[in-house]
Amino acid sequence: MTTPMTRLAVLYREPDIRRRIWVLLFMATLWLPLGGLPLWRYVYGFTGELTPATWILFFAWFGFPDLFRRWCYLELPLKRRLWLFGGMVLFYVLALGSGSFDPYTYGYQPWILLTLLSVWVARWGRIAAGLTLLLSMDLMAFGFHLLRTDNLWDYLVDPILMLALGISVFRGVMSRRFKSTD
Amino acid sequence: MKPSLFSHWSGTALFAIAVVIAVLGVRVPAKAVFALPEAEVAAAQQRLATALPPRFEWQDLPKPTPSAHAATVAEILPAETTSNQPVRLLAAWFGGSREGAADVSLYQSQWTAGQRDWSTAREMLGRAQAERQLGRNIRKLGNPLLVSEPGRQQLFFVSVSYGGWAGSAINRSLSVDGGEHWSTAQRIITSPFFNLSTLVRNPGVWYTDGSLGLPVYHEFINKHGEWLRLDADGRVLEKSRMAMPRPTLQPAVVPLSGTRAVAALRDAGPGPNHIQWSETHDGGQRWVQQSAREVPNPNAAAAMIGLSDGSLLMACNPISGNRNQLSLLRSTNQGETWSLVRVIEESANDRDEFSYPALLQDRQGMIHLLYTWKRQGIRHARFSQAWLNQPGTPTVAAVAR
Repeated sequence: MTTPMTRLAVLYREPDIRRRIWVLLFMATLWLPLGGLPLWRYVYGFTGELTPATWILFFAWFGFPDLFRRWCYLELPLKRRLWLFGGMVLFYVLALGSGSFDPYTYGYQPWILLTLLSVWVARWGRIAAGLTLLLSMDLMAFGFHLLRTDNLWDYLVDPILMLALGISVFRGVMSRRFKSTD
Repeated sequence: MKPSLFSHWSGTALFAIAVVIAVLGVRVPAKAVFALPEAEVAAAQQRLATALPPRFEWQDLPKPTPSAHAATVAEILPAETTSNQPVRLLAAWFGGSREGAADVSLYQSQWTAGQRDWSTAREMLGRAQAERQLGRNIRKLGNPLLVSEPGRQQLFFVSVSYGGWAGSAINRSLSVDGGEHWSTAQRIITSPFFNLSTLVRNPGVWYTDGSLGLPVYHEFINKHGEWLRLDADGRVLEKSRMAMPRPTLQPAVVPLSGTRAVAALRDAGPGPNHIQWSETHDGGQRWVQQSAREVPNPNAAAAMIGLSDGSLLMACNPISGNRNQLSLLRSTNQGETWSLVRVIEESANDRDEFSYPALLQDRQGMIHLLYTWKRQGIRHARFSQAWLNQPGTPTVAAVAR
C-alpha cells in the first residue's frame, strides 16, 4: 500500500517536479519579513523590473519544461546562445561606461534598434519563430509602457536573462567538452 | 533545417503588429532648443540686477542634525509671478549623523527676501518613508536637487539600495504648494544594469517644449557626466554621455544659446586636477570634450550659473589638495578664461571643508550661494552683482590650457 508520503517521494525523484518544488520553496521564502520588509522587496531593490521575455521564459521553464527544452534545442543552439550572451556582455560593458559609445542611449528613440530587429526577423524569423514571438511580446510591452522605463533595451535584455544565458552556455560548453573527451 | 515549434507566418505578422505598437509608443521629443529668456525679459532682469547696491551678507541655515551636506536651492515661483512679490527660496540638503548613515534624511527650509532667518528645518523624506514610497529597501539617501518652475517644484534625489554611491539611482517627487507637501517619489530608470549608478547634483536647463535637461553623472566602472532629457512627467526622452579621457563627475551646465551649452565638471582623476569642460552645439544630444580650464579642482563639486549681465559665475574650491577654500570665479568670454573674484571661505586647516556649492540668481538680481560648512551645516551667502564688480580684491588670471 502506498502512503501519500511514499507517493510524494516517488514524485520528488522526477527532476522537473523536484525543480518546481525548490522554486516554489524559494518563492515562498521571498515573503519572509526581514527588517520590516518582505524579502522580495530586497530582491526587487536589486533586480528592479525584468523584461517580459525573462518572465515568459521563466514560466515556460517552470510550467512546460518539455516544451521549453524542445524550443531551446530548436531555436537556441549553443552557437546562437554564445552570440547572444557575448552581445549582452558587450552591451553592458559599453553601457556602463567603458569608452565613449553608449548603446543604451539608442533605446530611448529606438529607430535604429527597431530597424535592426526587423532586419533580423526578416532574415531569421523563419527558423526562429519562438524568438520572434518573444521579441513581439517585448515590443508590445514597450509600446504599451508596461514597465517604468522608457528605454527599449530594458524591454529586451536584463542582467538576470544574461546570467541565465551565461549558465546555459557554460553548461552547453561543459557537456560538449565531456562528450568530446569520452 | 530544424522545424520551428511555432508558425512562421503568424509569428512574423505578430512581430509586424508589435513593431507598429512600439513605434506608436515612442515618446518623440520636440527639437532640442534651450529655453532662454526673451530679450526684453533679459534686459529687465539686467536692469534690476545692476540697480542693486553692493551688498554681501550671510546666514547659517538651521542645523537639525550633527552633519549636513549637498545643499540645493531653488526660487519658489508662484503660478502667476508679479514683480512686487518678495523672492522666496527653498533649500534642501541631506543630514544625519554622518554622510551615508542609515539615519540620513532629506531636510528643507525656506527663506523670504527681507527676512533674516531661514524657517525651521523640516524633514522632507527619511529612509523608511523612501522605502515605502519606492517599494524597495533603501540603504541610504543622498544628493537632493530642487528644480523650480511657475507653480511647481521638482525634487530629484539619490537613493542607494546596495553598495556605495556607485550603486545610486535617482528619484523624483513633486510639490505644487511651494514645498509644503511632496508627492510619492518615483524611481527614474536611467541605466540598463539593475538601474545602477546615476546620481544628480547640479540644476537642469529647460527646453522650449517644457522638457527638462538634467545633468547627472555615473560612477560604476567609469566616472563620467551624462545628460538626461525628461518630459513633464519625469520620463526620460533622451540620454547622452559626456565622455572624457579622465574620470569626471557632477556637470554644471549653462546654456549660452538655443542649442549651445557649456558644462564644467569635477575632475575625479589622478592629480593634478583641473575643472574639466564639455560643450554641446545641438541642444545636449552630443557633448564634445574641450580642454580643461586652468582652474585647480581638488576632486570637488563646482556650481556654475549664467548671470544676467552675460558673464558666467562659478563657485568652487580652486586649490589643489583639499576643500578648505571656497571661491567665486568669473568668466566674461563664455568660460574660456576665468578670474578669481572673491574668496568666500578660507581656512589654514586643510581638514576644514567648504564645499558642494549651489548658485542661483533670483528674479530680483540677487545672487545666492549655499554650501556645506565644515560638514556641520549649510551656509547661505547672498550678494549683488555690484559687490562682485567692486575692485580691490586680488584677482588671479586663469587661462584655458
